[in-house]
Amino acid sequence: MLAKKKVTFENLAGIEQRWKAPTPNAADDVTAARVDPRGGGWLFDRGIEPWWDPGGDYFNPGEVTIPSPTSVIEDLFVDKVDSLFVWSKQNTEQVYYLVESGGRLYYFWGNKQGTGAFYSDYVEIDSGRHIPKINEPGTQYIPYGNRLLIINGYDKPLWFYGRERVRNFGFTIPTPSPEPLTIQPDYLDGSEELGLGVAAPNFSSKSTIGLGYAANEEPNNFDYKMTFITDTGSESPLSSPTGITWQTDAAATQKKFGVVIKHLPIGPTEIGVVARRLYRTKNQRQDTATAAGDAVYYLVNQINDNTSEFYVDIIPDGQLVDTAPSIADTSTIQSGYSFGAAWNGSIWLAGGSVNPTRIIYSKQGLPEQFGGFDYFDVGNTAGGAITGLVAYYNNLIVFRQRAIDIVRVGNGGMYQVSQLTPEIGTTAVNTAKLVAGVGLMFLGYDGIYAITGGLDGGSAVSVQKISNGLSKEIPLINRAALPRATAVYSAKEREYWVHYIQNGFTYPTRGIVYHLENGQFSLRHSLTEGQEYLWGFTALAADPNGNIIIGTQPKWVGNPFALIPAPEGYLVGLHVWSGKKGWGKKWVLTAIDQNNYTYTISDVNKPLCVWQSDWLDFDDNSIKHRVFNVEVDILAYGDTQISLTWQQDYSHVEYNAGAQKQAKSEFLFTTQEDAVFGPDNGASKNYFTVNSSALQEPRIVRLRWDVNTGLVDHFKWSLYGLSTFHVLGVDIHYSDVEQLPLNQRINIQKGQPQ
Amino acid sequence: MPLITSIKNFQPGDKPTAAELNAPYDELAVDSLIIGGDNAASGWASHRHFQNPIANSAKEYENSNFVETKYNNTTYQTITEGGNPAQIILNYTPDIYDCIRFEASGMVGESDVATDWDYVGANIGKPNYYAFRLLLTTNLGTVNLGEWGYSFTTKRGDALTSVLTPSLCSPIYWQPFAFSTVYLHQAAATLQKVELQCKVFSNTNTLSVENHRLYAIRARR
Amino acid sequence: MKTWTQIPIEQNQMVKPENLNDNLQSYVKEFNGDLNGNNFPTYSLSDANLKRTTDSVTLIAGSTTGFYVPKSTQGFYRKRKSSSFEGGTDVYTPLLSINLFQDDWTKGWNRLNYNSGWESYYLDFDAREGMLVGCATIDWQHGTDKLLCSSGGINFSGERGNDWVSEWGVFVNDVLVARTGFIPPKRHTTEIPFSIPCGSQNIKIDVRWITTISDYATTGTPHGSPFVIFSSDLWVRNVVR
Repeated sequence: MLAKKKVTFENLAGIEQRWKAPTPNAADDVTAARVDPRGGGWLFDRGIEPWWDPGGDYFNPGEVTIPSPTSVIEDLFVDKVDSLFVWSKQNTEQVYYLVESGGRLYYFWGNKQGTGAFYSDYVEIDSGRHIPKINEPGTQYIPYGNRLLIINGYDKPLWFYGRERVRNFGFTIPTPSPEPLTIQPDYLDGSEELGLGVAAPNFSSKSTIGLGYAANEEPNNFDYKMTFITDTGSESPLSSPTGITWQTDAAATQKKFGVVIKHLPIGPTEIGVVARRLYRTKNQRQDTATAAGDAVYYLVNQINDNTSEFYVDIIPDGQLVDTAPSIADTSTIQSGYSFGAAWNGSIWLAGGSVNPTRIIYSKQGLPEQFGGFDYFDVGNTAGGAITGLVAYYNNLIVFRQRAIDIVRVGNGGMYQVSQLTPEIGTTAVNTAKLVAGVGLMFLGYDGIYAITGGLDGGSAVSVQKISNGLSKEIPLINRAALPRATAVYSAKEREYWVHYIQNGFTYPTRGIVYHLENGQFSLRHSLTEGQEYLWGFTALAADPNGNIIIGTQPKWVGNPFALIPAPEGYLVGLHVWSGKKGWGKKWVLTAIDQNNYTYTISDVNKPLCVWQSDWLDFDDNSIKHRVFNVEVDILAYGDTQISLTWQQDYSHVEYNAGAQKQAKSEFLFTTQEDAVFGPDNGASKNYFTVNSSALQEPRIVRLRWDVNTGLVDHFKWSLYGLSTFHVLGVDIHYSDVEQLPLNQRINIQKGQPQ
Repeated sequence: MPLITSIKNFQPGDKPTAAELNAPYDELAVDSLIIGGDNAASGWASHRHFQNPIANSAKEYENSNFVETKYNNTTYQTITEGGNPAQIILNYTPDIYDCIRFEASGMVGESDVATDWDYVGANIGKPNYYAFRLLLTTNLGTVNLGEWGYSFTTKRGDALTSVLTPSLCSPIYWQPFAFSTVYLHQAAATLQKVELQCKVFSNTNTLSVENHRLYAIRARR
Repeated sequence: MKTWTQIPIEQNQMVKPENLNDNLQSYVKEFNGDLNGNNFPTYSLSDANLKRTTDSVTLIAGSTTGFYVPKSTQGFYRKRKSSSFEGGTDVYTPLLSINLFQDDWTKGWNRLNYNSGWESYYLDFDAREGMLVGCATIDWQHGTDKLLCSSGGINFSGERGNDWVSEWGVFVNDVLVARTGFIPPKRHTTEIPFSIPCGSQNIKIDVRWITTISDYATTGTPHGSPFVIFSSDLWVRNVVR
């Protein structure tokens, strides 16, 4: 009589794909699950729904009423989302869901008055933008105060205020120079004719206002420069100088003069200039003259507008005090930086094709003012080009191709850059996210890493790979396409998601999730070949409530612009990870009338979910085992079904043990079943009746599947469901048979080892 | 306060009644018609959420033709050029305490000046003046919004008590004129139109009016 | 803020308390104070949604007329003194005449509200943070003098004072915020728009003038030209941030 044994796994674990799993309760695959925050266990109750639901059965976006209307359907409904950012503007309750697709950067406010007003809440920030290639990370978003900096290394950097206001960022072109008029002293004694220079006001030689020396044959020489001041308080670099000289002779010409600036350049409104500053040297006279001033520029005046073009300078040298900023204080910057971060009160920009190893930083509190010497070049250390900047703890992490550098505030308040770790780098800057309780997580070339700790207060910083158990999943990642990987951390779900492009695909179709509740991993992917598009999550973000917002690669079966055959679209528009039992909507194009496209809308079923165990050898693979049944502890869900399959000895064949209702077996098919939602389709004996049915407390039930394997070395079981299910633990009843593994040398055949 | 408060937190064993299940939705049906500040988060609105106009609406009249018109009327007359009177048709009924801003401006050309003085009695200096007025017409009558004056020459306005006839002082040509005021609507009435008018004190002088414009901006909230 | 399904509800699924509680509570929480720009449709608000002016209006009557009308998005504050209205005469008759040889005045800025009968002619109100956008329209005159010389049967008249320039300025809390620049002698209606930011604070706005005069050596009464005011209309719009 074989002695029956039982192995119990109280709590099922997450993914562990190494040959010898550290714990036997681990899984080979867990798809589309979350850890129940109330009581643990793997809960398969998530789906996705559209961020804005067209509602009803038909949808017609109507005539296009947005700027640059060509290719609207393609850009908004067909092209993939290249970047997504949810921005909460400080000090307001405004939340912007910024989307980039088809070269357009835009947002919808989110609530439309009927489908006839689809475009009424569309706000376009930029168009004609660079569409990132598969090896480019795409647009980066850097919140700074209550503004948002948007850069991608190709298009002009944008400074977004919210609502519909956006302007160019930074001083990327030199400041133009002021244009003073000449001065004609000789007109005053009649020896010169009327010219432009006579506009200069003149003052008596004893006047306290006015410029220049009024004595006979005294040369006078002044140079002017100017700067722009933007609404962030940043000052542009100084313009080139323009000079003015004059000389007095006869008594009638011995005057002090006011210099007429006939054209004070107006700052470009696209960079938000609100004021201008005029600087001037003191009287430089001639080189050999006594009392000649140096070429040091002093502030003459700040003109608090951006409209006046005319200015008269009558301020004498003695009243000039404040010196002009130098190149160390402000200089022009290139617009090709690809990565950025806001850290320590400054904007940091780095990388890009023109400056792959250079980092520049602005003055504190002045986000557009970059000093000419405020930069680092990390190219003198090995590690490759800069691939991202992320502020972490009290440091700035600089991701590089093959290293991670760190910028910190050193002694004396100066910034220092040093290498945190060589040989660990990444190009997946969009996956670097701060995760509560862990640190900074990111996807590297060979797995998921976490940067924990800090450099101050006695703590130590470490960079460790935490995805060691994903040994079958990580090799699937397309390394060249890592820049297009995307990640999000949600405080509500307590999960860190990372989605990436698998080898053989051009957009992300698989994902890994790290669950903070139990420190375990699960996966996101399609179990059905040919349906990978249902997991086409190209960009991820979390809103202020922690909802995970998903930008997708819409899937169109057929030509989305032709009626025959009627094309079907899936994952069109933004989606949200939610408790909906569904997978968005299916759009079927049914009519085209000039620019009006009409679609029928229907629900899409949620794909299959699975918890699949590792291969179990019951702690001894030297003997055979016979498995009798699998008993699974689940939370009851009524008359909905789950199915169990099993496999043996590493065979791909799955034997179906059948479906069972998620209900207390003793009451099954009786009127004592727990009351369920209708409508009545004959599946239950007890549909919930208002006023008479009682709400049931969640209960744990045990379901038993008989499997009855033969003699096997290894056993695997899987639990599948299309409906919601919640699995806690499992007992497996088996017995051992003392049968040693065969010695192959007993039976040697031709061609076998001798 | 349009908040939903009739929501029950059901417990195991409860037998929900139709009234309990419907109550939050019935309350929503009522409250959703009177949504107010208590339902909305602070600082949520953007310009796109407002109909245009929300707080102000503007109307204007513009005459930029390089055609002068001349006036030597001593009572107010609406400035008219080419058959177009300088007026704005309003035709609306404001709310009580709506404020309406009016502004007018233009250019005085080369007026014909014959008299800029008078030392007799109470009219000392007055022949030198011309004036503009904004006249509002309602369904209950007219309202004088304001009168503003200018002088034809530089001469001071008061006593010249010589028995000799002085010559004209320097005439002022090509002078811009501009003025504005705010009207507070206090009684129920329909505003029909506002006109820009002018007059001179002495019909020996002829005022030349060139381009001119008129604005009316209604401020509701 | 937008809210989505919290937990699923499907046919044949057991009815538990959280099925009835969780989704509804999240929508109620959204409705009870969390509705934002993502919930409200665009182009949905009109002036009917903004609070109307009720009983906080102040009307000013007498020798100075005006009103204080704070509204939802802006407040209007205005005072006027005019010969045509408050003065009871007409546009050709001065309301105030200042003898520059006998009355008190300075070579710097002279406050209009320092004249008898004009003591209350300035705006005084509690502003809300935002902008002060307004206009001062003053109808005034400071003209040239005419000299008449008669001697030996020869009569000569000459004009003097073409250099008697004047200037007007608007002051907010004693800070000059707008000025006209030099205006040569004449009667002129001067419109001075101004616009400055302000905080939630008490605001006082008034207008002031500067002028010049010169006399000549003579016996008897000095010859000059009075500084004359016909009307002054000062209004400001406090645009709330």
